[in-house]
Amino acid sequence: MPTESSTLDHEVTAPRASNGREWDLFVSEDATDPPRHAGSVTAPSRDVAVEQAEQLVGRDAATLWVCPADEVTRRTTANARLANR
Amino acid sequence: MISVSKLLCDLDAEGDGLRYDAADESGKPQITEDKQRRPVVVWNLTKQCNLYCTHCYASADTETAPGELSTREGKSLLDDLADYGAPVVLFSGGEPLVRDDLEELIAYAADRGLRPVLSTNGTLLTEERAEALRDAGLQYAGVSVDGLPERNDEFRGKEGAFDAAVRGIEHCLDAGLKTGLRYTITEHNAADLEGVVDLLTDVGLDRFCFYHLDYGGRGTEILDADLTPTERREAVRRVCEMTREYHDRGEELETLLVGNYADAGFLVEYAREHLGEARAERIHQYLRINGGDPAGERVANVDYQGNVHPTQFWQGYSLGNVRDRPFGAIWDDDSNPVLRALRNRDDQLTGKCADCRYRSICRGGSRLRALTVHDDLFAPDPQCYLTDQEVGAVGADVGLPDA
Repeated sequence: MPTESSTLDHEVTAPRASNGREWDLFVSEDATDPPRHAGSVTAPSRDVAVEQAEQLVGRDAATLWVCPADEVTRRTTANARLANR
Repeated sequence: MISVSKLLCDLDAEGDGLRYDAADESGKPQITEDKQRRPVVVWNLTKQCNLYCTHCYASADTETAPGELSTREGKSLLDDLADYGAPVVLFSGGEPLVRDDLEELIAYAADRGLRPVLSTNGTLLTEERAEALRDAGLQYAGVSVDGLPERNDEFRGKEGAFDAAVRGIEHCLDAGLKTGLRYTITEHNAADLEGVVDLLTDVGLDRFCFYHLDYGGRGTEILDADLTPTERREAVRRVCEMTREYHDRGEELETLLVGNYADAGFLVEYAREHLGEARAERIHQYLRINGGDPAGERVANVDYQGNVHPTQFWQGYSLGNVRDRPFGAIWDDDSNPVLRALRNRDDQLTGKCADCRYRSICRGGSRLRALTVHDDLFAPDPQCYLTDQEVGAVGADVGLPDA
């Protein structure tokens, strides 16, 4: 059983953009590696986000995922919350 | 930042330790050497602003945006930054004075050993607020003014903004706060430069920071108001001339150029022409220590929602969010391809930058401007105004950007 401090019982619901939609980027430089979070871009549409992502992180990428950040649920333990650190 | 007054006139200033590793030769208190390896962090506390400036990189608005870090979260962020060893936190916005916990956060930063400084439009700086900021431990207030009164007010979207900013500056000076001007040079206000300095030195101001327009936020909507290379060169030359004239009269004006490291190459060339080869080489050496464009290395940004950016102007790309990971973990993440590119850019720069003799003191200038204009992180900065001869590329097909 997880202890209280290791329970993912806090959901980070604060938005990460207000000028458009935020898109999380995941990149691997070798197709054998799992894609790893490489930041996010603010863009009005998926196509624009992909274009921006390719310019920023596509140079050495073997894999690029562009994911709408508002579809990502962010859960942390209580101790990992910014306000509790 | 490039200190024109330090390089051309030997003016001693508190920032020399950070910029030129010159703490030992300075008579002013200096930031300790250990901390120079960490970035100055610009924290945009809020997106809300009482003005609506044409060039605002933060796209600030009159309403509060959702997701601002709370007071408690802000203090945790400051703990993160202090633990990480950031030397300076620049409280910015939006307009940071719209937050009524600003003094509490500044006091907290000071208690944690961070050097708190402020970027403000100055219009909300009452006598009481200036004294409260001083008492909280604020070390410096940079007040933005972008032209003589009529031009400034038009730029800032509010009649009376210039006069209100000057009153704010006076309140800061009366409170004993070190205070300076922030001035973004565009086609609209380049002609006002000397007039604004004359006017504000009469008020008692002695520090002037001249910013080049960066292409972030609403700045991308006014690219047609940006200076041409010829105009930019002339504006920078005028800053140099003005600085020397003040110093020749015995007035210790501190002047700095911000946001375009072609200025570094220009200063060496200017010194060679006006002050001699030995002085030019000394300036070149200082600028090598300064290290050129600081994006992703010596400057970092945390926005009002906790997103970490390579610079405050680069709001469209986030490295991560401090609500998810501590600042230091985000900033030290070598797996991030953008951070890696910015930190190892020297050998990847293309065009006129590739063989530029000033590459080590410029590092290609703004990567954000290169990306915005050329869709290429390693293309030349479109604001570079150095000639082919100056960059050492005579005979190569690397002409000046279109004037």
